[in-house]
Amino acid sequence: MKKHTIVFLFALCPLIPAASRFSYGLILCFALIWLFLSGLLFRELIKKIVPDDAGFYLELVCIAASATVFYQVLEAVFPVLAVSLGLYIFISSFSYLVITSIDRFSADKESFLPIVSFFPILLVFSLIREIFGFGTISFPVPSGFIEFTVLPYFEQYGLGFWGTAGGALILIGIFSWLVKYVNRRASIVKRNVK
Amino acid sequence: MNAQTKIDVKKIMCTVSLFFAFFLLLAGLQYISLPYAEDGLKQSARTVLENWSDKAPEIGDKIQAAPLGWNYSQTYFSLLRGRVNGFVYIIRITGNAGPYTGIFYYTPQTGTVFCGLAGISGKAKGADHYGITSRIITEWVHKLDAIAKKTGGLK
Repeated sequence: MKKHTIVFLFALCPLIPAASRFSYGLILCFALIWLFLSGLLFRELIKKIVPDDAGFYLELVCIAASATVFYQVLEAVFPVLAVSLGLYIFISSFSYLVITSIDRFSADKESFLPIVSFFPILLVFSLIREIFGFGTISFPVPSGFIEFTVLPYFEQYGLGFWGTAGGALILIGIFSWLVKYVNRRASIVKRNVK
Repeated sequence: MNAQTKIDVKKIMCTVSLFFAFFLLLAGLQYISLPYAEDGLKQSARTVLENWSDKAPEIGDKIQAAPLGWNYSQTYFSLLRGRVNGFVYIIRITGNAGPYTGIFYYTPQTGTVFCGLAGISGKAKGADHYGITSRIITEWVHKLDAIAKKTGGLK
């Protein structure tokens, strides 16, 4: 689990500057889900057509193409957010590769489970950052994003620091401590039950 | 042709077909999505320019400006009373709190001016609220001034 947490954080790092808003988090999450589904499809397809060592490199090409397809659809539906997040859509494919490689290299078996738990973490992370950093919650709309005020007195008393990359790094630290704490508690409970 | 060669040729053909399918898919999607993307961006930039000034310019044709490295950018001619008078830049700006889409306006007389952030609906707040500090804006203004001089196309 320790190694998984480190890889998780490493995968989340490139997305830290971008995941400052819930609307951004939603789009990045959809990008990862799209990469996950297309990755599954291409992995099976490549196993059939190129079953040797070159398959891995071909899979990388497929993931790059999948990310480009997602970006082009995003451009048509949310053109302004596509400008803001364009680079990060491609960076999310790097995060996807990092997370899916957890099992590829460590346990010699392929599993997509770590990436599935990454989706809610990214969403919660961006939600917390937006609420505490801006006092709002935002959703993507074709003209950009729409903000709803959650903390009405944020302008007077709020601390925008949590919306910055520095604040995000501290949040990641708190997150990883929480995950570790919960896991430790769970393993103690399990041991006591036995 | 022996059996091994046949298998190798089959693999190569499958790989080439996959690449060709990607090429067709991406080219097709680009053809479909580009008009929607340009319309959406122009509309957002128009809204920002109108909020910025009563005498806001119209957005003209897209032009090819000097590249800005990793940063996404779109450049359009700006039109004042039907005549080209400068450029409108749509650019990704990464501030202290994430990336946003910035709109800049350049004329040879005034230089580059920051007009606002696109895509933010609701009550207008300053760029500072979104982590785009005056230092970041100044840096972009200098960069775009230099690029505008290289771009040319203005009388």
